[in-house]
Amino acid sequence: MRRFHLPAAVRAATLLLPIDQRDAIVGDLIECSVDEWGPSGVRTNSWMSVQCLTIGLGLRATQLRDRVVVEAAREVLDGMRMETTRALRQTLRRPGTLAAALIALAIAAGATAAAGFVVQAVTRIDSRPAITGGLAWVVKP
Amino acid sequence: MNASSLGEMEHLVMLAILRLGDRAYGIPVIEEVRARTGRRVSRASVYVALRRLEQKGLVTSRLGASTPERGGRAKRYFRLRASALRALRASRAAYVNMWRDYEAILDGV
Repeated sequence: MRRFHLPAAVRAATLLLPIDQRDAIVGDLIECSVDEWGPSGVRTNSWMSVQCLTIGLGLRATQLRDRVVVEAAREVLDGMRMETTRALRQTLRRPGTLAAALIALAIAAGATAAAGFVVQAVTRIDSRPAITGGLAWVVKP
Repeated sequence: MNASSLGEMEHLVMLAILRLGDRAYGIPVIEEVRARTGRRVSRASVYVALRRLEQKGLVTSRLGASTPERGGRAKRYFRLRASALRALRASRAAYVNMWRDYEAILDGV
């Protein structure tokens, strides 16, 4: 099948289209342009160029956005994976450190709970209503 | 890429491909979307949607034979995968649920 050669300006605009889709999209545009503007001419060529540029820019923008987002997400996930792996390896290599860390964690949790109980006990005494057995109310000074 | 997150144009393009069957290539898809929605959708938005659907694995494509009216260039035919049909069904169910009881309200306005 003989290929229809495009004018240089249109050919340049088609370069913006991804190579794997270029022929199919250009073929679609040729088919449309014949119906709308005729097989050749200034209007046909300018219409083809504008269409190639808009479609090409749209597809390239999508590619770029996917690449940037995917790369950024991949970097974060890779970093997290490496940090987690390193922490696990170090922990397994030194069981003493792991035991010390767990004991420290238990003591800290116990101390926090004890402090909480003390604070609760103190505040309960202070917040007790002046008249017991009745409703609490606010007295304006 | 998350296949479940369908954009509006992707949704429309998938329905157009489904309706066109074996005739689904660029131009008929664009015309189908324009005719059914009554909107002047740009060619670029349809091609971008087709590209994204292929990347999401919802659509496959194959090249047809070259034809003289296309300057010897082949058509790229699109076809929905089973996952696309599942995504369409799920999307439809979600829309139907969201629209439930609203028709009467909108009809009364």
